[in-house]
Amino acid sequence: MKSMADEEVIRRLQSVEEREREVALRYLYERVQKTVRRYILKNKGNEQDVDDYFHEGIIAFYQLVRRGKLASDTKVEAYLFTICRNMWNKKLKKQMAQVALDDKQVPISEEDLQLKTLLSKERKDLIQDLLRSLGPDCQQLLIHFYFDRLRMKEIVQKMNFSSEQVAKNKKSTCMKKLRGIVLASPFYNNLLK
Amino acid sequence: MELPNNKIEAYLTGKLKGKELSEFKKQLKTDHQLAEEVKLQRQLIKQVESMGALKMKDQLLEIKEQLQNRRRRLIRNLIGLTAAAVFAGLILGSQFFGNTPPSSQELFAQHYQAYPLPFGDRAGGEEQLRQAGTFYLSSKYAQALPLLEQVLAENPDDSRSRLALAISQLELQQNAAAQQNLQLLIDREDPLYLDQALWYAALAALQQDQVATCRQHLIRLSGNPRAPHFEEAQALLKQLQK
Repeated sequence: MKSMADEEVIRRLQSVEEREREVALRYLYERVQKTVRRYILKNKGNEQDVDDYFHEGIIAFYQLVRRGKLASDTKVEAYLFTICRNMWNKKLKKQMAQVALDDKQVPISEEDLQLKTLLSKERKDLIQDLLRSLGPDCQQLLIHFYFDRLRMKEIVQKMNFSSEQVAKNKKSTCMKKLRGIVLASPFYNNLLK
Repeated sequence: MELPNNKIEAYLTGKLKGKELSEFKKQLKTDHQLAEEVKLQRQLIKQVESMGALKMKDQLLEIKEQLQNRRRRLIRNLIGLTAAAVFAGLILGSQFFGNTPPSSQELFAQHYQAYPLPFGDRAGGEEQLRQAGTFYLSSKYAQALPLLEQVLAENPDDSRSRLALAISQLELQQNAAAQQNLQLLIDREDPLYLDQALWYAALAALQQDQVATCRQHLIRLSGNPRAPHFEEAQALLKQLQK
């Protein structure tokens, strides 16, 4: 793939246009995934870990870009690799600490390991439920505001609101809806703490 | 007491600065109701961020799938080119007996392959969609088709399901219906599916001997060098010019 300047990658990730963001994500995937994969497989990881941690790394990187927290001279590919590497190393350290602890106590049973996996799948399913309950308009609006960190002006343009005030009112309604769903369900309340 | 929601949001999204921020933090230490509200809103924002992250993961999985498919196609093309080189003598020999250009149907057969759309867990818990995805990925298009139609009846904006439906229709020789669905995707200009829609629309037109329409789609696809079928579109355009 043709090389893209760091500023160009950041500009595309900051763009309001979905297409621009996708081009930047595809570029990062092609340029950085292999290095991250090599590192994780060499350090006790498997292919699923590569996917999980590379994706988490890109998402974290994207959020930093959207919050304007990158220095202007950031080397994008190296930075993204560092994020993924640090996330992986943190997980390994936790695992080793757990193994050391478990050596002194009772080893983690297969059941407990499965329970941990089940909880994270459960959490994922809960988030999917939330998405569905909110409906596509509220989903999109809240994600644009809190995840993509678009300004209200940009959200108005993207979602065809008639004005910023209308968009703000809609956002307020959607947050109330989300709040209602979360507070009404003890299941959500407990699991999402 | 009415809570300062604007300030809470500004605090939680990092927009509160300087004196305002330090005063707000002081208030949090003494005002229990405010602290509870901040805790709740923080949770809500966290859930929204998780929703955003989940959607982005879907997008990354699609990108991964597309890149893997492109690599497989490149490898296959390389093998094909190698085989062509080995049989170069036969090809040259056939020139003596007159070499007719391939027909539209032959070109279609050469280039067409069903796209392995990733469904998997991202079907989001919808049983019908999950089943449709399973049938589609097992090439059971006759079983996938009615399920995809039902999914689209409830959610006509689901571009992934519409692409799967169009490809299923192509597989079942329902070309006109496939072309209609692909045109809908092209008109929608959904960035995730536009290139795929253009490619399959080109092939659907080719199979119907609608060479001009096929060329139109390929030319548009060739405008994006990063499109998954960019090289194939260029190759097919060259073949159509012969």
